[in-house]
Amino acid sequence: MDLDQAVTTAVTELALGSVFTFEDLLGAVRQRRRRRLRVVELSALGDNDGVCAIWLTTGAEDVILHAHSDSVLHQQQFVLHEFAHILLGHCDGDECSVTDALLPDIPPHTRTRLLRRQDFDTETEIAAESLADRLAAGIRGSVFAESRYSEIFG
Amino acid sequence: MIQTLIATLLWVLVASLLIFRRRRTDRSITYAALTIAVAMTLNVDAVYVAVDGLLGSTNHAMLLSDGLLIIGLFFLGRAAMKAGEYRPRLVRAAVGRPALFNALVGTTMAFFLIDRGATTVTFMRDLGAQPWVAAYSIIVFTYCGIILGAMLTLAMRQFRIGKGAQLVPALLLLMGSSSGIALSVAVITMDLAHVTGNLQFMRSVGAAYGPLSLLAFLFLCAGFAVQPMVRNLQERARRARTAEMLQRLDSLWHRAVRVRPGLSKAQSSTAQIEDHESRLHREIVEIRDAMIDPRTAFEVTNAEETLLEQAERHLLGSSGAGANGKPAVVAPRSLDERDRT
Repeated sequence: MDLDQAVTTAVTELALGSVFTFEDLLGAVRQRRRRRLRVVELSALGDNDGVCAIWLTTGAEDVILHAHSDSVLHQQQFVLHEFAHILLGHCDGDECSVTDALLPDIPPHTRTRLLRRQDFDTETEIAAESLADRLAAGIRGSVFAESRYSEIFG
Repeated sequence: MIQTLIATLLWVLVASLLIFRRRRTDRSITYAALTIAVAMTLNVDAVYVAVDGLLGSTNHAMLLSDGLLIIGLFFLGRAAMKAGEYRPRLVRAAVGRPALFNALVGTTMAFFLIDRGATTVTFMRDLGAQPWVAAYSIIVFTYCGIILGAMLTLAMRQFRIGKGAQLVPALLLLMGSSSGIALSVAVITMDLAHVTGNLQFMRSVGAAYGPLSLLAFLFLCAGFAVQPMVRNLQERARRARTAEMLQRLDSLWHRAVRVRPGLSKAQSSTAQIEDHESRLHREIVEIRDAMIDPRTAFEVTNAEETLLEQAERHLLGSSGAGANGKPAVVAPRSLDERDRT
């Protein structure tokens, strides 16, 4: 399956239509994983090597840690990128690595899978960022979606 | 003269809707305008006489015209119901199919109980003393008042939540619906005065009939015609603003991807992203990525940062809210909010 097709399939499988809110998407991702999902800002995350966000998955829950950005749009992209990894099933097999250097304070037994938004130099990262763009377009669509009034009278 | 003017206004509205709403899927308002335009054209004396002649010269053209008016109003009421968020059962029943059926059956039954005589272009003035004529007219204008009441409620809500140019059609519809309701009340009052023999009172109320008719149709037609024009203009303005932002960010984005290649470089080029808003989104993300990456030396001037913020506000909607007033994005939750997840 090529990248565009994988992204399109992931969006279709969400069954949210072409426009949706961030909350709709969050709900769909939680439903897909059937587990707790937390999104947490970690200001120090991007201080050293340009990591913007990390998806950390443990036995009990998923945690998305993201760096701070003054831009709401940019910060949203961090989170959407990690959602995209989840939706594309990038940690469903043994693809994800555990990087001790990145989160040395977290005991290894609580950390089983990990993916991060940093550079777009692998197919996995390119696919996740492409899907994040599509998800952002869906959210943008919900913001500017026509009201029923405008659909009928406009 | 007034009838000719009203019919002309309605045909102009129909033409305007056919042009400005040609790609729209919901056609309720176009059907309403078209049906009411035919009904009002039948009220023009010359047309009325000609059509009634074809129907046997016993004022059947009156029933045809009012039947079409009721059907047109039904389409309008249905549109108002679909567009509005507040739809109590009573209001739904008042503008639904049962109400349409009752209005059509009621007017038809009353009409055939009228001693109508030969074709007359002053039907109500000549025959209004008959109780069935009063009943006939009251049914038509009660239905009209109910539908315009629903439209007035909707227009008031739109006026409350609308912004900028959106206020213009809302205000026109508000004034048109109010005039239409006043017209319905005036006509029903005249019907009752006529049937009870209070002719002096009927004439005094009748003085308002012409101006109210004209105002109702003028404002309603203007409101329904301007609404799609405003939407069209706002969409064009947004597209033009997106294109302008892309052009103004171009050099900044090229500098950013030179020091930190983003997705657009990893794939091929953002030129391949056909949707301008998606392309603008990608460029903003790549500029921001370069700005916060400690591994790269990428500085932006204050003017460039202001431009970037303008572009973001444009994508997210002014003040972080879109055209429909909803927040642009839900900001990711912070650490302090984790207990709520």
